[in-house]
Amino acid sequence: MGTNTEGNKHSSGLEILEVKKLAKNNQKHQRKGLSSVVGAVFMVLVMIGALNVILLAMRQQDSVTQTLIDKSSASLGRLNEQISIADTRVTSSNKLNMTVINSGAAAAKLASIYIVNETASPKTQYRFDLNSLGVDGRQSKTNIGSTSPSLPFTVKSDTVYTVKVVTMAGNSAVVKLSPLKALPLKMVAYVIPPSITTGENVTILFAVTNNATDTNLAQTVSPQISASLSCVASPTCASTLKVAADTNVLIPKGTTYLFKSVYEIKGPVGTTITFNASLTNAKPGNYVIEKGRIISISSANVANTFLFARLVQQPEMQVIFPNPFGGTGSGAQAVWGAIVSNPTEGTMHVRKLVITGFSPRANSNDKIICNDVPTAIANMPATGTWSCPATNTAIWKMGASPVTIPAHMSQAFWVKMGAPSTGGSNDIESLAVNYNVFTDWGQFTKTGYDMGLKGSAGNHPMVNAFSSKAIGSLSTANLVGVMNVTQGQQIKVNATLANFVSGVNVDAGSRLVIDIPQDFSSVTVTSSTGFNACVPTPFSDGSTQIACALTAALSGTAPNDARTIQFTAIAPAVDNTKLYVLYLLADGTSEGNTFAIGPVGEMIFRVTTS
Amino acid sequence: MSNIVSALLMIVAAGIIGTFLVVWANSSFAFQSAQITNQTASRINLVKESFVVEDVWFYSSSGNKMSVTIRNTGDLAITISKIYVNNTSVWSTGQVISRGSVVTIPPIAVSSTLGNVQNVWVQTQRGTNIHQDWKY
Repeated sequence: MGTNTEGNKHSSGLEILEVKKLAKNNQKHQRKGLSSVVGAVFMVLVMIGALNVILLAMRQQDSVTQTLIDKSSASLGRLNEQISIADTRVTSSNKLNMTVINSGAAAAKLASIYIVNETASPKTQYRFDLNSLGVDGRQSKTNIGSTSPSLPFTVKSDTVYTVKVVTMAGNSAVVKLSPLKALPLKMVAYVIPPSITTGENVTILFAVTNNATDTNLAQTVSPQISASLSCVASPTCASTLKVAADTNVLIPKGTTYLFKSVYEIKGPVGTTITFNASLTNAKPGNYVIEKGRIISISSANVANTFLFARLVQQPEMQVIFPNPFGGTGSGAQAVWGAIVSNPTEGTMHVRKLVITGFSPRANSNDKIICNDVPTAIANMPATGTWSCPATNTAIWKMGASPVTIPAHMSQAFWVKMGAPSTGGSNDIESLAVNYNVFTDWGQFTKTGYDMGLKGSAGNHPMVNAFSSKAIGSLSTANLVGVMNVTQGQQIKVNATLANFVSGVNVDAGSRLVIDIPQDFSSVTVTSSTGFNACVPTPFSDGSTQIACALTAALSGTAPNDARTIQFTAIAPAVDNTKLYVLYLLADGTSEGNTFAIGPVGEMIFRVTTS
Repeated sequence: MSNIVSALLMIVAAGIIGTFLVVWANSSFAFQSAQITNQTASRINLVKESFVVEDVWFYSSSGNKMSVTIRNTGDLAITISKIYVNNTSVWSTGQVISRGSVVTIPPIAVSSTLGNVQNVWVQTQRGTNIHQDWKY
């Protein structure tokens, strides 16, 4: 046990030693761990430094990226601005006036404007700062150079310039600016019509083409058109400007502008009209000359229209005669005659008017007119006398002095005659009536009219168509051949179909035909007693017709001796007094289709300006 | 005792080495940071540099001459270092253009024929280049 005890004692001592050794070892290890900790602290410090460098590098990289993004954005903005110079001209105070358009999406800032004097030798250049003048996307900026901003630069009227606008982004727009004095323009003149009658208006179309492809006209242009006549200037040889051409017109490159002017030309036949057209301040030698000519006008041109927009140096006649011409010895008379019109600008004097009837038969007993004593109608005209110097010849002669017809006026020469007779009392279906007027402008004849004559075997209607002051009136006191109206005013007309012979009929259903001249508008029937429904029929040429049938026979006995269609119309606008013809005609039969009726009554509408 | 001494020696050694390492590393990192910063600033300035050649005006005055109008549209002042015409250096005087201002560099003698198209190359000190064709 003692051994064991010692042994135990020994073993106890070893255990203590081992414990101490372990404790020492632990202490050693603890010291060794302390140095690791120290080392680790240093490593951490190094790592922190490295991490800072990495973070710095990343931040710097981010800055570079941001800068690149900004740069790209700026570049995109530059690509998105699209400026152009839309218009360039020079103001009256010789200032440049430009319009710059930005058709891009991004706003543009105008930095500078460069103006190069291309005419100077050597060329000179001027630069002006525009102080970042903004032009929003899809917007424009006007008055650059003149007011916003005003540049201290005066444009010369004889100098070619190149103008360049530069934006802050570096984009630019260039335009070349040429003054009229330095740019020859293509000019063409048209004289319409090239041949005119005296007193007629002539239109000059002056076409100016800006065919420059690389330059803009610096200013608006105004035409200079002159008309000269080859005759000696006098009141009857003159040109008067009626419509002036436009002025201050801008002609963009590649376009043509038509300047229209109208002249009234007076002159003798054969006169040459020379039109010289150019532009104010045009390049010397840049003009065009076109010629026209005054010719005589054939009466055929005016016979039918009788629209005296132009002058004819001769009298005109509009006639009235009955058809058929019947009656017996009852004393009935119908209306014959003519309205003499003076379409000239001078006064006309009428000395004589002759009505002649021509029978197709060689029978001296055919007495068409002047088989009784003519009955003058008051104021148609007021002076002179009607007589029958020979069978079938009725004549009006002046009294102490001729009848005066002022310019653009008309005078009726109407008379009542009757009692026709024929050889063998035969009817004559067709005979010619001739009209002659003798004036101080010469003698003028109107032919081509035709009528039917009932022989003396029995009563037959005398059918006339005329205008009257009253409805359904046969009274000569109410006859009216010339009706005056002011332009744009309403005129009221009583168009009458009359039978001067009682007891014989114009058959029911016969029609009064009224042809209202062109340009008269708003034609309205206001009364048509004795006729079926009357409706005006307008035609594409501007004229209007009223044709209405009698509801009952025109028996020559009141109220069926004269039936009237009353209508109103608005007179057209005129630039000077014009004479229009109102045709009163008829269609139908008399006495149960014995004759075809066809009276002619040509009345005058005289339209004045005021 | 020896253990203590050795332990102290270990700690001291570790401290010295660690300190040296940290100092060296910081120095190296600082150098790298400065390099990165400078390089980045330089590149950013290069990118930010922006100018426009507004006009090149050719004229004759004691020989063929040209003047170049340049507008600095960037946020930094720039220095125009060289101008070349058709890849031939014609000007290298140097011209500083402050931010937002415009400068015309005259006169530069050139050997060109009227009507010819000239390639004008403008270079800044930072290395930005603009090549443009202008008609003499």
